[in-house]
Amino acid sequence: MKKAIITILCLLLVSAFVFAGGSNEGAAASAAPKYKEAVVCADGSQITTGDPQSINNLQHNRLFKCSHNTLVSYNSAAAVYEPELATSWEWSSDLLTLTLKLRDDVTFQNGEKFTANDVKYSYERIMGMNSTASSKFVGVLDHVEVVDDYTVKLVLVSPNVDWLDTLALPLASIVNQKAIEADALKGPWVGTGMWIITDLEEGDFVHMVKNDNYWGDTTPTRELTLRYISESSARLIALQNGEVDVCIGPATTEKGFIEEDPTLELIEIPSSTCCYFAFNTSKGPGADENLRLALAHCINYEDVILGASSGEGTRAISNWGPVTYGYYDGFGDYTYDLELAKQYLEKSAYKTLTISVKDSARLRAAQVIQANAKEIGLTINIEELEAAALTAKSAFKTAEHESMIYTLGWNSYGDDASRAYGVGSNTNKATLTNDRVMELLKLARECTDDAQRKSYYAEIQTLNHEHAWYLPLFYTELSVAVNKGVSGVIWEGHQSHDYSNIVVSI
Amino acid sequence: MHRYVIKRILLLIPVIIGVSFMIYFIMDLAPGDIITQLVGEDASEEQIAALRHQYGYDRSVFYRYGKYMLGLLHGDLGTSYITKKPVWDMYITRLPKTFWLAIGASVVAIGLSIPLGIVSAVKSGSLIDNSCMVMALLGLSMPNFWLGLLLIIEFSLNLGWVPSGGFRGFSSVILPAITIGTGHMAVMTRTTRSSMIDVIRQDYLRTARAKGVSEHKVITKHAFRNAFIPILTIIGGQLCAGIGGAVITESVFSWPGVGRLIIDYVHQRDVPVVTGSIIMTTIITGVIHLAVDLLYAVVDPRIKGKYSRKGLRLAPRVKTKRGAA
Repeated sequence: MKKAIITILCLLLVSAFVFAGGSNEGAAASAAPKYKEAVVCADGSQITTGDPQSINNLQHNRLFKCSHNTLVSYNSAAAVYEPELATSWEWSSDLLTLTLKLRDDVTFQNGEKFTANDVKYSYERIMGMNSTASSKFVGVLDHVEVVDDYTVKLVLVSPNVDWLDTLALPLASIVNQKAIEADALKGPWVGTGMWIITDLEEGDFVHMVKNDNYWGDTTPTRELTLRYISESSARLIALQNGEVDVCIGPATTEKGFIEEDPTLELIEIPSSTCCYFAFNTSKGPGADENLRLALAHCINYEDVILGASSGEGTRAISNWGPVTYGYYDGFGDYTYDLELAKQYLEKSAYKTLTISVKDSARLRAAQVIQANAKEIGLTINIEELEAAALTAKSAFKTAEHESMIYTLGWNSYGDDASRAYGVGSNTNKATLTNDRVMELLKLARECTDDAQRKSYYAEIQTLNHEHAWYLPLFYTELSVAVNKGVSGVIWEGHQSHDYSNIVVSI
Repeated sequence: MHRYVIKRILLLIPVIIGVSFMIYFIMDLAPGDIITQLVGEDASEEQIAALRHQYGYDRSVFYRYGKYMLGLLHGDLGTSYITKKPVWDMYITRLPKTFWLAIGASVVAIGLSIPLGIVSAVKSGSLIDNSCMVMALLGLSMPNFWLGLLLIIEFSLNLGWVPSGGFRGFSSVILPAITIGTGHMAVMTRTTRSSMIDVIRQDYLRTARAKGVSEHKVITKHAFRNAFIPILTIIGGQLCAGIGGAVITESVFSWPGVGRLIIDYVHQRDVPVVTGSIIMTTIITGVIHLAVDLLYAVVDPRIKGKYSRKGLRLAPRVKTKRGAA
């Protein structure tokens, strides 16, 4: 009996050691990070195509950053261009030719080897497409020369030191000729990126799986889905109940729910999107500088921010993006001075002005400005139009608007100013044709001296402040609600976030 | 009967021509065109001119419409300016989802409104009648986006029973179907009630009761069958409305249906997608109305004879009192 008890005790002791060891192993295993295999990101804008060269907008850019690669990429945190499919690059002395050395270890998702011919095919395809993307290439790139399999020369029409930025945009992604010739619709989906597009249900979702043959570092996530949920409340609910892991642009009024929820996190990103007031300076009341300055000095800008975005905006001094190259605000803000505003208005022949707007936030901003202007005797009429109608009405050549409230998402590079100030640009909502501004834009485009370039851009912004072609109102707030385990995303102020390395820890 | 069906199908041709003409020209009159949507606001004059030529915008709207209709004659609904996909493919991808939603909403509406309408008519003037009418009124008064969000919060967020949106199989149909169905329920309940009240006062029902037929049988077999034709008309109309797309509900539930397809592409001025989708919806609507008309004959065999008669009107006159004739 005694022997049996001793044997049982020994067995218990041994098993205690065994289980203790096992539990230690379990503890070690649980200490290792675990990630979700499938991640879902929800957005309020829909993805309609998997062809990176056919379109240039935020929601598509987020997709193409996952599925495709560009020759170079822009690191916005460090403000430097980094190699992607190109390993190095060199400008010619006349700034007309950019020679790039390419990686030799990259294959497309269909198994084809990536070479310089793919760069030539991709860029020539963009130029022949007549798309929102091609307008960045046509008139800028003259032709592409293949030097050898892994060297390519890009010859420009005129010097443009911002050309690298265009090459870093998702619209300049490299596509595969063989895939496109085999299938014109789905062929452009084939890129060299970390994620392979497997399904695109327009108006619903895009599904991707990880490219196991990707040339760079990869993520533990196996599947990535970008879902379209147009209604902001429904988007947030989908995040709250775990259907999605990322919710772009939750409603301002619902941010409280996110902050109260311990499983969620609200990410606030400094935005480069500026909301500003634009006068049509080519004719009518907007052409009268006194009227423009009268309005500039009578607007209560804080009230505008409160009215348009429930106070969730940052006062803009220049109408440029705060992270855009060459940003300058040394001239200071317009003073809120009703007497000064009245003096300007007295000198003006116009006492009424029409503001055209296209959505409820801009309508509210216009209503605040209307109330402010009334105090100096300026009558403001508000005209609410549908987006396409306003675009047509404010097109550069045929502009009929008197003034409008416009929102521009600025890119990081300096020549982005050509959109807002360039002759012929439909984003030039002031229909500005100022010779000095055009000269400054050209000088800056062709200048490699950093300080000199910045001085050109500073002069443009100072001229704008003096003549009040554009009245900067505010920078919009950019928020994203995420599952607390989300990491690896590069959040961008211009909203073309990079989900490539997204992981969600569990 | 066959002559009637053929006539109705042939009548669809001028309807399609009329609808396509109106849509095409209204889209053309709307300010803004597809060119800016395609190349963006930063495009050069040359790019814009090239695209205007490519899509025929340098010629008259009659030319473009004629070209579109010529393609339609060959069964081609056109190609989207934006996505470059055939409109047929885009429409047919969305149609099953819209069909699911329309059927689901009809099931909810019929399931709720017919019992409510019958009870209301039988107990006319009573508290039950008034309660049923208040319920119907509530269904009509609640805005879809509000009801939809409430349902999502309760059944998706709090209870976790169904997905909050998107097309994810049968479970995802339930909430949007309830949202649309409760709106439809109001009209259908009132129609059922008034139709039943008309019928239950008829002499033949009194005779049936006098002959000892049970009240349940009198109501469900004798009265309801004769009261059903106006209800059938409403069901057909609401099914057609569903096929056309319930844009607000589709938006709240992120439902990739036909309604949102049309609205999204109206904003982008993609004329082939809008025109092609509306033509398809017109055809389906015409077919549903024809099916409803044929169902009249199933419900009331006397109507069948009228369909067969030569020189018959295209739609038989339907009366609600004492059957149909």
